[in-house]
Formats: sequence, structure tokens, C-alpha cells
Amino acid sequence: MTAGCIYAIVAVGFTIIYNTTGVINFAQGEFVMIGAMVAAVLMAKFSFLVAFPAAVLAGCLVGAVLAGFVLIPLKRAAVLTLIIITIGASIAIQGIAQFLWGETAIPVPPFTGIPGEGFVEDRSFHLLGAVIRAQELWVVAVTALIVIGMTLFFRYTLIGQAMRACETNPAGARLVGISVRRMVVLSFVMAAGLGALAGLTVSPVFYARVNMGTALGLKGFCAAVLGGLGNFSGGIIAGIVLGIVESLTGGLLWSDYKDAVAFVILLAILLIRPEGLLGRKADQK
Amino acid sequence: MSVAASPDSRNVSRKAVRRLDAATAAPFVIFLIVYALVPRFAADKELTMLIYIGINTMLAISLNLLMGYAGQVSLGHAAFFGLGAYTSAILTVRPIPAEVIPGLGTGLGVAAGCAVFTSLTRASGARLASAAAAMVALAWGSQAVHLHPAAVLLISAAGMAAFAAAARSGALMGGASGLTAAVVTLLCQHLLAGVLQRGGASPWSGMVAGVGFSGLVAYLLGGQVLRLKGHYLAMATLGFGVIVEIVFRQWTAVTGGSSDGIFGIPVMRAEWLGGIGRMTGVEVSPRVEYYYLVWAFVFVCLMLGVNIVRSRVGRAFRAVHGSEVAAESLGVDTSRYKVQVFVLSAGIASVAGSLYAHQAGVGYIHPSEFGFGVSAQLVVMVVVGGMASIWGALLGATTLQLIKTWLLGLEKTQHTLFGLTLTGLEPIVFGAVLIGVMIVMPQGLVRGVSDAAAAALRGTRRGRPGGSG
Repeated sequence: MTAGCIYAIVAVGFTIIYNTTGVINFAQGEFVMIGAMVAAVLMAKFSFLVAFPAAVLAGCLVGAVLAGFVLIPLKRAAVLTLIIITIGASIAIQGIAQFLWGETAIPVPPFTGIPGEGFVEDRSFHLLGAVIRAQELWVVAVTALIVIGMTLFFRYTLIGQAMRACETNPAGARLVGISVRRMVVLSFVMAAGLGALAGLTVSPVFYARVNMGTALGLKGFCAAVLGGLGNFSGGIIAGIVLGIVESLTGGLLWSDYKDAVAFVILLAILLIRPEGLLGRKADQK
Repeated sequence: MSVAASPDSRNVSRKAVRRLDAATAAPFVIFLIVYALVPRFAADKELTMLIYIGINTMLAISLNLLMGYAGQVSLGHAAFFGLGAYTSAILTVRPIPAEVIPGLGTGLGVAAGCAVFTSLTRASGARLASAAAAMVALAWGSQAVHLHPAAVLLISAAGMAAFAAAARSGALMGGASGLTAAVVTLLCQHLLAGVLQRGGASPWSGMVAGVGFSGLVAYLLGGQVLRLKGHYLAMATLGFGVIVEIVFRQWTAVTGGSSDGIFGIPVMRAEWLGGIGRMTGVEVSPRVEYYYLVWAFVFVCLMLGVNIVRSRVGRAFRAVHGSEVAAESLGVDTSRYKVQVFVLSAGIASVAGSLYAHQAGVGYIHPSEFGFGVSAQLVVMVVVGGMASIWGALLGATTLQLIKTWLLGLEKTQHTLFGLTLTGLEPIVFGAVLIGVMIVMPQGLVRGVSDAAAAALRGTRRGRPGGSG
């Protein structure tokens, strides 16, 4: 469930960028990593009041830089070029992070913990026989907040509507005075900020590690495709379902192949219903 | 890329060798001379590097055929590299446990059956899945009740025929694929079981088996996956690559898993190739011999690549790249060509994998050598060398290896920058190279530099008419 929420947020990040630019951003998982790592590193020295905004800001900054790289060739580029650029970005970001912070996993104290000696223990609740850690509730709450916020943003604010216009018809959007360039940068910044937020929320559960991004990004993409690319609610539902299916197969069948589940589902979905479970036919590109 | 063939290049495929003009042949001649002489001047360290470059060149050529010429992105190419390496390593040193054999036999049998089924009926999606399910049931059932092999053959043929009739795809085809599934299943269980359990096949037969297996997988996967385009295809191949790596890591009984890997893989010998070294007056060590072996394969791949690109098939690939719809409307069977190039590409990658596994003085493979990182590096090689450039693959592989060696040297010297020790630079540099090349010269270094040079030349000519230019 916790994992599912993270997949869902990553899927939302994919969707934001895909909706405004038509690009699949392979570096989405790295945004999550940056959020988690920056939070983890700063938490060791400062209070969360400093660490959390800094983590999200760092994510946004990286997103903006990446947008700059994608923007330059965007007009004349083939899909292949854009894919390769985002892959390159993903490799480079991960490399830089490793260069700065090393490979070891950093534990992060939970948001609402019981201060113990040396290590902060998480509060936990008993619900219907299952033990739930407080941090998991935080993850769910943040996910819900993001979902509601995004829906409202894209439906009711001027900027949100402008971003939707960019995807539907860039030329038309430009004609009515929307700066497509600015919208693209904005979408990258938003996706990166969300990713970083997801990363810092989940870091107390999974630890913060430099190479955590790749797997999260790929699985988030599975969720995005599963829900139909470009479809917010689809991606979120699919992400949560994916997390549940994964933990079920991991717990009940073979834990060794837990990580493969998402990709088998991805292949199957791509072959049988490329428009996703909840997508429309018209989404096929 | 023009779709129409110019008349004078029409028969290139048939008379390729005779028609190779001087400009095409010259690089090969130079290549052969350098190839023969290198061990005279290279120490063991450089030879090892050259062996890696050779293997990477083969991989880059195979990926370039797929990505650069046919325009089909693959982010899981290391999977075929790994399948080749693992198949031949397992067959040579690692006996497969007896309890895995029946399942493996069934799996292979069903895969072969599916391949026949799709090639005959072009079935896909749900129909293929149900046919596969029927074959699995048959193979499994026949094992459970210990029937006589002949009876199994008959029953499966009849069963598949019945199934095919029900699916209205022609009884003959269903029967044929069912028969294939049954035959391969039986083969694996009765004939191959000895080899699989004993291990100890020769590296050469391991390589052939690897190519066969990778080709089969590529055929099945390609038939389904290559219908996807753009992002979807990239993600599907990526997903496939990740799944294969997970299997390498987790199927400990067969692959040794991620803690051990596979040890003690024998060296692939080719003594007659060492003769080239003796002719040039070099003492032939196993490494020198292996160098000759790997680069002989590279030579074959280069020839193959250059010839395919110039042939009818190659033009079809490029047509598919240019515009699939246009190619199809001109009568090019796009889906068939796409699958063909995918299988060819997987086959070359698999040979490279076997060469990688049977290296002189290594004898060890590990799942991490065939993961997503490797697939991404292959893409870097192709991009750096230039999409749709066979010789560019050589350049790309060499450049990358040189960068790697340079970075490794830099890390050893413990330089510091802003108080940080320089380690783990490889991903940063590779990522930056990838982005930079894509933005500055999306055609790759070969094309990019030659274009820039041509432009500069034109510039000087215009600037100084009558100059030597």
C-alpha cells in the first residue's frame, strides 16, 4: 500500500510532463531519489522545517535544469532523441548524487516518532489485526493531498488549463497567448517537486539510497501505462493496485520475483491493451 | 532515407562481394592488416582492453542495425547479451539440476511451438496466449502420466489440431505447432537431459545453442512487442530487459544467482587463428589467441552489417525507419522485416555474450553485467558512434572504452576537486556525453564531425576562391 502510493505519485509526475509535452521522462524516479536524499542529509543537521522545503526545492531546481535540456531540441526532435536525453539525464543525476552522497543507505527518522535513545522509533497502530506504522498513514495522506491538489489545479486554475491546452494543441495554445515554453518548464518543475515530496515522505519507510530512483521510476511508469498515459485518476488507482498486487505476490507466492511482477504486468498491458485499463482508445500514439 | 532503390544497387545482395567498390573495401583491408599486426605491439593489458572493445563493437553493431537503421528502440538489449553468455556458460560448466529439467523442457517446447504457431498463423494476443496455454497443458499432462513419447506426439498433434480448428486458423498449422512443442519437449527431456544435467558441452556448441535460444526468444518477443511504437516500445523492451536480469539474479538453481554468479567457465579455443600471430612472429598466448578470435567475429559482423545495409533487406529496414506507413503502402512487409532485424540483432548480441563468457583469463559472469545499465551504455555507444553507421559502432565502442579507462586512471590517482575525491565519475560522464551528443550532433560523431568538416570546407572555399580547400 505504501509502495503503491509512491508509484501513484510517480505516475502523476509522468502524467504531468506527458500531458504538457508528450515526452516520457525517464528521469522521474531520480526526482524521488533527490527528495529523499536531500531530506535525509539535511535532517541529520537541521530540523524538518528546513529539510523538507529544501528537498522539494532541490527537486524543482533539477526539474528546471532538465527542462532546459529537453527544451533545446524539443521542436525538431524525434521521440528517440527525447527518450535518450532523459535517460542520459537519469544516469547523470544518479551519478552526481552518488558522487556527492555515496552509496550507503541513510535512515530517516519518521515524521511523528517517539524519540528514543539513538534511534527514533515510529508510532504504530493496530487496526483490524494489522500493524500500521504512522509513517504509512503519512504517505497515504500526502498522496491524497497531492491527488486533490492536482485535480483542482488542472481543472480550475488558469495555469492548469493553459497547461492542458499546450498538450492538446501547442500551436493553438501559442495563438491565444500561452507561452508553451514556460508551461513546459513549469510542468517539469511541478513533476520534480512532486517526486521530491514523494521521496521525502517515503524515506523513513524505505531509507534514502542513491539508486532507489531507477526502480521507483520504472514502476511508476508501469502504473502510468496501466492507468492509461495521460490519465491522472487512472495512474493513481493503477499505482495503488500495483503496490498491493506486488506485496501480495511477494508475500504469498515467490518473494524472489516480487520485483518482476510490475514488469510482467507492464508487458502484458502493453501487448493486450496499450491504451491502459482506464484509458481511451484515442490516447494511442 | 529514400525508399525507392536506385537501379544500380538492386543486385547488391547477390553480388555483394564483387560489387564492393574500393571505397567500401578499403576500410576492411586496413582493418585486416591492423588486425593481424596488433599483438606485435600490444601488451597483455591493451589486448584485454581490445577484447572488450571487440565485444562491445559487436553489441553496438547489433543494436545499431535495430535502432539506427530500422528505427526500433531497444532499451533491453543487454538481455540478449546475457542470454548468450548464460546459455553457453551453463551448458559448459553448470549442470542443470534434474528437477528443473522437466519444467525447462516444457518451457522450451512451448516456446518453439508458439514460434511455429505465430509464423504459420500470425496469431497474436489472446489467440497466441490460448494456444500457448493449450500447449503447456499438453506438455505438462503428458509428463504427469508418463506416456510413451510416440503417444505424446500423437495426442499433442491431435489436441492442437482440434484447438486450431476451433480457433478457425487452420488445423494443419495448429497441428504443426503442437507437434513442434511436443517434439522439443521430448527432446529436452530425453535427449538433451543428459547434456543439460552433465554440463561440459564445448564453448562452440554453447555459443550455437545461445544463438538459437536468443533467436527464439527474440522471435517470440519481437512478433508481439514490435507492433508498439515510440515510448511504448522503449518501455516494453526495458521491461523485458529488467525481467531477464531478475531471472538471472533469482533463479539460483540454474544461473547461480546474484551472490555467486558462474565460475570456472572454460576458454573458447581457436588455435588456427593463433596461426596468424605466429606468422607475424608473436608468441601466441591464450590472450593473443582470444584477441584474434573476438576480432575475427567483429570482422564478420562488420561485413555482415555493411552488406545487409546495402541489400534489399537493408533498404527495407531504412524504409521502415523513414515511414512505416509509406513503406507498407509500397509493399514492404514491415512487421516481417522488423521481426527479422530483431532476431538478427539478438543473435549477434548472443554471440557477443558467449565470447564475453568464455574469455581467456576471466571465466566468470555475474547478473550485474547484463542489467539496465549495460543496455543504457549500449545506447550511448550507438549514439556516440552515430545512428545508422556500421563503422560508427566501432568508433562508439572504442570511445566509450577509452573514456572508461581514462576515468579509472583518474580515480586511481586520487585527484580531488572542491575537496571531494573523484570517484564514480563514469555515470556522470556517460550521462553528460549522451545528452551532449543528442543535442549537439544527433547524427553521432562520425556524421556530425564529417558534416561540420564539410561545412567548414565549404566555408573556406567560399571565403577564399582558388584556395587549396
